[in-house]
Amino acid sequence: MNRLRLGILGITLALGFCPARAAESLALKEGSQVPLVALEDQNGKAFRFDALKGRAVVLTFIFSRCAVPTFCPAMSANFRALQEEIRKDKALTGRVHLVSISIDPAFDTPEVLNRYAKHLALDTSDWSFVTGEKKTVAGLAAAFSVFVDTTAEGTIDHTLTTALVGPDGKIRKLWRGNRWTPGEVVRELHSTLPADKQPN
Amino acid sequence: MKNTKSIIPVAALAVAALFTSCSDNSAPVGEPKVVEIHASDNMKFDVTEIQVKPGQPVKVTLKNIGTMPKESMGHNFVVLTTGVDMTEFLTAAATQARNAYVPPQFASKVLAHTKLLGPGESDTVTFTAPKTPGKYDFLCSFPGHAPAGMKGFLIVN
Repeated sequence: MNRLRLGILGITLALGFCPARAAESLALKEGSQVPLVALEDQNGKAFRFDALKGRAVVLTFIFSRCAVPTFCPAMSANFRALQEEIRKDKALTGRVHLVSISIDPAFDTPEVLNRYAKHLALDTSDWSFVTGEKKTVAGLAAAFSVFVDTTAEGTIDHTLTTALVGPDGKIRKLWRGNRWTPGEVVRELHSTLPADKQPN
Repeated sequence: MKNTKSIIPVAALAVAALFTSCSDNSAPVGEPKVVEIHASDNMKFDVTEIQVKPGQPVKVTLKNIGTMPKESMGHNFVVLTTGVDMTEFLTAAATQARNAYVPPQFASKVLAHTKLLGPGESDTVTFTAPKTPGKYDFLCSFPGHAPAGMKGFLIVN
């Protein structure tokens, strides 16, 4: 990983935006509809976001071999904490689904993600680990302004985006970088899923 | 008696030859250096320096004390010869998941390596330290682990 690339990545993270974002006219914003692309979950089953309609979705982009503790491992640890918080919270239990999208589909097959999921999640009833065709995943990552690049050492440089999608499939909140906390997401979930609109 | 006299010099020569052979530079020297290294999910080795004598036998046991799956956080111990371009080696290694991240094209540059280990697994590798004094890199060749600090030196002195 050369210093220039690290520098760009650092600045990108610090400022919370992607260099390609300005040029990316299709970049999703708060209020945009989440793309309904065909993906595959950790069990090899077809996955589309519209199958989760009626529930709030929190999604993020990771890859299972990421070796930077403050990147994917931190996002996955945050999601695990979030899963625990949601299950303790009666107003949210059963109303939220977490989705970790791999940006390394060539390596992160459903089998690999299944083992990764077993290590990380309490279970996968409310947390999916998804992969897909290289082109599809790259397009989805780009739409969320996630910059992905293969390094000289063969690993992946990338930025981070985490998103909250409402039960109507519209993006409510985008967090750039790694500074968000599970508590912050829980607060956003409460305003997205008011208790008085809780399904019986 | 005559026979006995002729046997003694022959035996002495044989013993001398044996000692000559034992002091040959290509043979291992001295007691083996035994080292146990722990590797964990935080991508660190708990031993980052191994001191050996030239030609000394070395026995390294690597234990993966982490809990993450092997595909996501496997660890190995790879010792390289001197003069290896680390970036070139790691680039080649990163594409060699099927060869446990030890690139075959660098086989002549790898002094020794363990298997790629998953959580709770261990493996031992025995090798002979190089005869030339110097600092030899050892590392975990799983993608991203060496740049994250999972490396050290075999110091031959």
